[in-house]
Amino acid sequence: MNPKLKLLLLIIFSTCTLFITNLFYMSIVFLGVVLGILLLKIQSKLFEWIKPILMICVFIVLIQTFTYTPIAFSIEGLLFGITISLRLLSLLLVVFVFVSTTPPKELLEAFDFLPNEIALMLMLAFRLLPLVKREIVSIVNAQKARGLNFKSLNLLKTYFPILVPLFARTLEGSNRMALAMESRGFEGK
Amino acid sequence: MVIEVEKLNFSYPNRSVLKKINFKIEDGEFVGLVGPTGCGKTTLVYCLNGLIPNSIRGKFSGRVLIDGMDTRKHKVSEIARKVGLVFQDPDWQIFSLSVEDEVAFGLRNFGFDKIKKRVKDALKMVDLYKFKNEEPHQLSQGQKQKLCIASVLATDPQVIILDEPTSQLDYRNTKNIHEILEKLNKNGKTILLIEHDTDFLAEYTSKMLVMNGGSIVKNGKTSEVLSKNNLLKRLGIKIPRVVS
Repeated sequence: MNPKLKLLLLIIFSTCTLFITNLFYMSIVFLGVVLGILLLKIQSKLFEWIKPILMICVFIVLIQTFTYTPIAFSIEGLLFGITISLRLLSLLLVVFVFVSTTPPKELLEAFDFLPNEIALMLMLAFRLLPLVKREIVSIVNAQKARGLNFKSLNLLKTYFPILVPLFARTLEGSNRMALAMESRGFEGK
Repeated sequence: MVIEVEKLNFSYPNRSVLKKINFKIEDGEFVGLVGPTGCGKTTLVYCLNGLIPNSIRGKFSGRVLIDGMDTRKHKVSEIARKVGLVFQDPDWQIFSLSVEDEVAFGLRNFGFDKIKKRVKDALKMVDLYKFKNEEPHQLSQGQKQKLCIASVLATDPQVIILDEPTSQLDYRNTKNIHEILEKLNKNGKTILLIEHDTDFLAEYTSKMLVMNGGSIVKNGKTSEVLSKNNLLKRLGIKIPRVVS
């Protein structure tokens, strides 16, 4: 499918989803998206994609359940919380479908109406993703080899030794990338 | 004379890197540049394609002439048309989402015509044409390095400078890159190669520069430079088999 058409459908779907407030209709939309993912057979990385958001959904449901009517359990709050969570998950899943079925180059073509500078920024962002991922893996392995305990509850102590070298390496690498671009005649226009 | 460096000094804001560098490279020469890590080799090549002093800040004095062009008076894009630079780590110098686009990037910037044909020729030269539609990050390290070389080759510069292009490669890929360089030199390209493999340098380069502590400590014919066993040992440079 044409990447621009896909992007347009994504925008229309996302906008429509924002207007659905009924749990029944929201559930149908959510199940429809899940069915679509299963039919496209792209579910292998699905859990990895939604894992971080699941905790947020649980949190939303709990907050809504106990604050819909002030400081008391309410069924309306519970249903409202579930509706919001399903909306969030549906939006996320539909973005997942878009990203999983569109190679980065086509993804960029979908944004070719944007000014050159912004299109270039997007291209570099897509290009940097695998590099940053590789850097994270290599830093995590290096820190594990030096005995860093990832089960520690002190998040600062756990993630500081990863974030600091990650930022340093990414900044240094981005600087080198800029020099390489300049060496091939790029003048920022 | 294609490259002429006179009394070149360069300091980054917190440290002095290059001290009184003088050398000349003739058209069509194949020159090796060796020296211990951190002696200023990479900074020197940044001076040769104009990144220093145009894009990297620091204190610059002296003169670098590329085919008569003073690097202080011309933009990097003008100098880069004559001097192609292949950086050390291929991952951080590939920025496009397909092999074909990567090679075409420089061609578009320099305003070349017949881009498709030039891309095809450059990719064929390094045996990557069959990967033209692939995403660069899916290539092997050796293929990525070849892609970087193809990207520079496509713009047909007079001089090609390579900063340790084989440092992350296995023997087969290293040999492959060396063969490409040999072919390019035979086709008339001037090549300046930063390389630790002195066996290769002994075989193919006509001239060598040895750097230490920001200065050129030896400059001469390859055979003459490589016969200075004591100097090479002192700097931790491998003595090639032909000599040892």
